Amino acid sequence: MKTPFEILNIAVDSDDDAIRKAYLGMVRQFPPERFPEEFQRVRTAYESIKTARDRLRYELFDYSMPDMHELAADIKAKAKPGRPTEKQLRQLLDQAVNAEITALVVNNG
Amino acid sequence: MAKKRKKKARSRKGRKHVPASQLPALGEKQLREGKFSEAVKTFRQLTEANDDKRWRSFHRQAYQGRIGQLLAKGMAKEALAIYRNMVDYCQTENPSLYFSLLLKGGYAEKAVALFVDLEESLAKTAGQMVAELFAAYLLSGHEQVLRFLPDGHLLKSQFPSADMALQAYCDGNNGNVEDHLRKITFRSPYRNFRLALKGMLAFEEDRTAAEDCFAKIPATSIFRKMVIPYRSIIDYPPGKSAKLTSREQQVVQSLQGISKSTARFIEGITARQNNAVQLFTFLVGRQKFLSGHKLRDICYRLLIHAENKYVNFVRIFGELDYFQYNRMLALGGEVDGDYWEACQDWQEAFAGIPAGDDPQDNLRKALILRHCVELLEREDGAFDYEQRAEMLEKSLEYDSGDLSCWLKLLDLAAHDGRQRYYKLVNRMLAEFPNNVEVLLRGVMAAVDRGAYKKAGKLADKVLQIDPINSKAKQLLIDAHLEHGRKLARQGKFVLAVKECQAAAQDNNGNYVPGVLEICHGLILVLAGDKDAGLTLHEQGVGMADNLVSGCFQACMEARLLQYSGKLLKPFDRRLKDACKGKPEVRGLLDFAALLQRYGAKEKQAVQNLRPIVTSWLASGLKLDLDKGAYLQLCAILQQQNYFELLTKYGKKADKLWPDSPLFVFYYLCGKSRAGSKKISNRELDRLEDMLELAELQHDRKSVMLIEELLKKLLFSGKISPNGAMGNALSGFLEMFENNETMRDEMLQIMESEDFLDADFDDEKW
Repeated sequence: MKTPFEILNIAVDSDDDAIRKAYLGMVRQFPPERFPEEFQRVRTAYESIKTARDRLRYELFDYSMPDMHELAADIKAKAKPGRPTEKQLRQLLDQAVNAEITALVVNNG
Repeated sequence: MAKKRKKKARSRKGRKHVPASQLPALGEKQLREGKFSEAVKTFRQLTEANDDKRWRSFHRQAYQGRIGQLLAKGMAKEALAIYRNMVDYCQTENPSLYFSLLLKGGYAEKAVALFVDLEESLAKTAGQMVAELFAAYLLSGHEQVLRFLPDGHLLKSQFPSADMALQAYCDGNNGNVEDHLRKITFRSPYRNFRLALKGMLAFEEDRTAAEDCFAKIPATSIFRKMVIPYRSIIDYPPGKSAKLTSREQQVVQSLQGISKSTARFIEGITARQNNAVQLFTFLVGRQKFLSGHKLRDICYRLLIHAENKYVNFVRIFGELDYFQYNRMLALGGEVDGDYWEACQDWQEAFAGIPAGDDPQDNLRKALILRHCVELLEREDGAFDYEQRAEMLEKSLEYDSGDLSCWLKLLDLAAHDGRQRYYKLVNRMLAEFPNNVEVLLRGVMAAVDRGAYKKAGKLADKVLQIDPINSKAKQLLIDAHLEHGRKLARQGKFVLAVKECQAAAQDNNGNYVPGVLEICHGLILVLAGDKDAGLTLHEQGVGMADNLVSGCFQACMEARLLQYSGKLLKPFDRRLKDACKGKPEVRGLLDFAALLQRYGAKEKQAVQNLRPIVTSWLASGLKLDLDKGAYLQLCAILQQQNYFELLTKYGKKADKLWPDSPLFVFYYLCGKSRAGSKKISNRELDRLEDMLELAELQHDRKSVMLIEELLKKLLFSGKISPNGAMGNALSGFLEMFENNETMRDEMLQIMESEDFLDADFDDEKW
């Protein structure tokens, strides 16, 4: 599950103004009449962190499991993307050829 | 030798002589049962004996079935041999099947030769598909096949461009990739490869453009399979992945720049997302993947769900400080639903926060105290008002700006005597002078204690801030009316009339119909203007929701204005006459609302009128009321101590909705006159059953009310000292395990003579 900070796409140490600005931006992106569910998610996230008191409350009493999918996404985001090797691509083609031939034989048989 | 002989013997044994007349039926049966090898032999016998078209067709079917069986087992070469037999015996050819079998059997050269021979005779689409298959075959590292292709064939002539483009892409030489791709023509079997490579180049800069390129590759093209890893990254959000083959996964890892071990780590953590213990063990065994700070933070959060890993945590990261340790325990308690324990742990955590004036620490303390109150509410229901109020008061010392906390405290103070309530309202008004919610509470409190001028000022202030606030208008009228009544009681009729006029001026039609006119009229009667007063009063009775309501309002207003007994009689007589009629559903509910309204001001007067309205209210039992109406009526009858009616309504509702604990409560609350009269053991058992049911249904209101009634029955000595009492007492002792005051009271009862004389079995003692 995403944290309210992640839903609003803001840093954990953002202040009230930054959070409100991000919230209004998201509301423009997801108006309630067109995206009721997304809007509700954004609204709930905003309500839970909108003031310093709310943020501290969230920090103190949140007991949700750390989200490993988010962590995985973080690791991937920090990785340096590259290109596959020639061998990998040729192997991929070889795999595709074999799958195609099998399909051809089965269809003809 | 022995083995050979044995095999031969078994073969002979298996061969049976079948008369020629039975062969067709046998062959068809073998075909149906998928025994193609036997079917081939049977139909061969039949075609050799009689070269019928029908037998030849069955023979061919048997061969094709057998080829399919062999291919399914991966025996392509054997399937090829069977195909050749089929051609010999059935004089039938299937070039497409032959071509496929050659490729599958590893005879690519022969397949190429066959393709070149048949290329022109193949249908256009089929030809293109096979050509593309060869293109991919050549690019996958089988360029030796090129020599079997004639010079000038597109597969051969365009191969170098495609191959070099692939190499240039992998080397990161984008310029060369584009140069080579430009040489691939539109009719080339490599044209979809060109699209794929273009998309792969765009993937790094503009994923939408890449997606567009990939979308142009036909669904039947083999090169679409080459871009599966790229598309999986585009189509799936971070953290999720498509089902990919290991080779495709390798390409994804290269594209994302993730090593094999990191990929395994990611796979491991996402697979253990829902198991804190396993995840903790997995993470601490692979510390190199996360920074020390990050790992510690995650492991601490996991400890909340996996407390038994604390020793491992300490070994790796060191001891937690007092606050963090107790916070971890408290949150663990909350996860397990053990709110009382959690509350204790939070209080320990509170003690771990340094004393001083640090605003952040003070806010933290305030939040913990408020959180403890929430936990107590979950654990204890409505009990321990005092403890909760104390915690909230203390929390406000650390952080006074939380309005919701003030309001909660105010609600708790309402249980605790009016003076404390008024003081609290005044403190709130000082803290939030312009808050509408607070101002409205201030108006209510001021009306309640007779400070009408203050109520009026506060209501005016609300209307300045929010001119259409209907609640403020209602409260303002209430204030005028109450003031008017007070002045009239003091004999200041001129001023009282002015207040009534002011109330009428503020009324925009939403106030209780008729009440302003009735009150005004009755004041005029007191002031000596009898005719005008009675006319206005009559007008008010007519404006009321129904005649009973109008007459009831008149009786109540007369009592509030302290009319003498003699003067009250005509109003009471009229109400009595009005009550001879039958109520309607709406009228009954409107009247109930009036009972509630006047009951809050003058409970005794409402009680005095009970004998007059009882029969009318009782006839409401014959109406077809829904559950909501019963709930509303029962709640009001309970508030006004109309126990006789409450018993009747509760009993009927209990019959209609037997699984509703609340109706059993209302019935027995009425019957026991709110715990002051004895009820039977059977009824007590039923009440206890309903308490359990309400707990199961998480019906907090019913739990609270039933517990309160049981407590009253117990403390007033109305529960017989028998087994049921024992059950109730043991239940209460358990309930008040953590509340010393209540427990002491319980123990006092248990030490009383009555109790000690009771006949309990050993287990109960």
